[in-house]
Amino acid sequence: MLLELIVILAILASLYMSWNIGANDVANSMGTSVGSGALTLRNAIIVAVVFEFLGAVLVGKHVTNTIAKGIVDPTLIPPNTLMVGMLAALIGAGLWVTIATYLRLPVSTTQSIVGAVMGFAAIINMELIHWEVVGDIAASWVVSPILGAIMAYIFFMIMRRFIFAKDDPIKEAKIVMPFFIFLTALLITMSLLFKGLKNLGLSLDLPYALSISIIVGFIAMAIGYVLLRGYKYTYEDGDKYKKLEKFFIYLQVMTAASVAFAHGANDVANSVGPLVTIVDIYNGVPVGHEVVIPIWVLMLGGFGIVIGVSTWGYKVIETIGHRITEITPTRGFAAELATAFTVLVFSKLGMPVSTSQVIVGSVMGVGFARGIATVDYRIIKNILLSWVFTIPVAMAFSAGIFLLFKYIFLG
Amino acid sequence: MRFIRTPIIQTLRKSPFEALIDHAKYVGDSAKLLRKAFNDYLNGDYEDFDIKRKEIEELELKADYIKSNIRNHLPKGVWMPVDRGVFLSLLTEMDKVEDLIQDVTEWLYLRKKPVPEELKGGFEALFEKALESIKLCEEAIKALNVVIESSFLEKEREKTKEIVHKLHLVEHESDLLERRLTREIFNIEDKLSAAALFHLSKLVFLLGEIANHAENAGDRVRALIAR
Repeated sequence: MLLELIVILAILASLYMSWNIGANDVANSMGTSVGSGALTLRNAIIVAVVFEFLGAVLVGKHVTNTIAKGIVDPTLIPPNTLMVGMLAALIGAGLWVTIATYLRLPVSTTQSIVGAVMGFAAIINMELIHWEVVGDIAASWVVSPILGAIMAYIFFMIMRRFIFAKDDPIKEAKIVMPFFIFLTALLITMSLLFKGLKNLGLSLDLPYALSISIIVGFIAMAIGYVLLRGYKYTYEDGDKYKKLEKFFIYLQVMTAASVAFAHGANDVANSVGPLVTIVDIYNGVPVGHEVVIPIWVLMLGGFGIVIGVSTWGYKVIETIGHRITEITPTRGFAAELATAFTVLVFSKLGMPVSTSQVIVGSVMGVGFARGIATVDYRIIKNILLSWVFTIPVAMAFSAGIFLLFKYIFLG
Repeated sequence: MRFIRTPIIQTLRKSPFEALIDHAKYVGDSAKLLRKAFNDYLNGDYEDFDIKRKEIEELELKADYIKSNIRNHLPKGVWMPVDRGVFLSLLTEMDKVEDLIQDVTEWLYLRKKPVPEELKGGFEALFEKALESIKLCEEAIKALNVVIESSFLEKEREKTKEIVHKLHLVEHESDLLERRLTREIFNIEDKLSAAALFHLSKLVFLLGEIANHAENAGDRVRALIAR
């Protein structure tokens, strides 16, 4: 009975966390598309819902695995204590994210959950924490925004050199862009097939996965080429670049969908990671073995994100969409593509990174390429601040709640 | 919106270059009005002149509003692909041009008397030059925005530099006209009252200042796009 209660509480807390993730982070992927008029608010929500869900369910397992068993050693904790601990982590992280958001502190759900999982474990025994995994995760927080920045810089420089600099940039874009479409399709297909979900038959070896991905990439490229070829345009005096931006509005839908997909793949773990541990113990899966990630848990996470997107996300998109007219479709394209690539790669590596911080890094990358009229670099300070704050506070919240729950549930 | 925690919202801002174009457009509109207002003044049509003077006043207020807006939204720490200080001084110069346009109308408003026939041509030419310099400024600022849109392509920078070069020529022509007109005023000094002498020569000076500050604005544009 007690176990059931813990599972139900964990499901509720996990749903809340997914809701929060969906509600807030959807603007990262869709905000610019709505702002530039590429998508109506309604269509943006639909695209986000579909791709967040697919990313969460189909690619979400890697990071989930890390959260569920990578950070703390589950074999050294009595199962009941572990269950209560993971519940405390979920509730602690959710509470902290809510309070921090209310106080307008920059906070990352990823960092909160990682901190929270460390928090309850630290109370039991510091030795339980896999410090080398924590070290890798911390490194990925530094590396991922930088990688995003570098990729966005490179993408934008390629666009600048092969599209912007030409006399008829749209004509060139029609030739160059299918190449980017190829890359995007390749990466997404790879993320699905290579070491993907076994129970859906989506786990292929590298050569097979790669060859199929290349074929899919070429098909996407051909479709893209045909679609783009039909685009009609005329330049008027001095509006070459403005017309180019218009052309990119449609391409940005693709990158926005990719970001949503990558976000689902990485961030679903923030809500379902601890839940997986709890469910596994409840189902009697022996600890220490490969964690079993029931697909329904990933679907629950995806579902929560979707609810967040559709109940509250639109408000955030609206707010952001109106404020970031500055990031034009070409710049948005480069930044979003870089974000999607970076987050997907880290997702496959099982590293929980912050999508928000990666997209900020990517935007800066375009800024370094002198692509953006004004970028507020003070955000970097905020992000660093969030690194300093979030971990210890989330740890403390989780630890406190753990002590309370231990008293209630375990006596 | 207390429950939003997306850092990207804090990262991006509206382009101040677009706002600068809006500002320049008000300056350009004021200049065109000034040119028409002076025609009314020459024709002794003081009522129409007054209407245009008030319109210019309104435009100046609007331009001022944009100016403050740009300034308030460029705190330190906001990164721009150009020198922030130079960008702000470009804004200052454009603001100065707008102020001078208003100064000219106010100066004319203070003394509504016919302009001597032999000076009319010279004044019209000088007003025309001032208008021309402001039009070029507006063009330069639009070109600057294209440079930004293109992320600093060489060819767009060249186009902008050409406009600034033209602006220099116009300023030089304005200088020559200014000197010649001043000489013409002094040539007929015996026919003029002391008040007229003062009024007209200061008018020449103010008009010359418009082209000077327009040129300064052009120089700032050039400095902004320099590598």
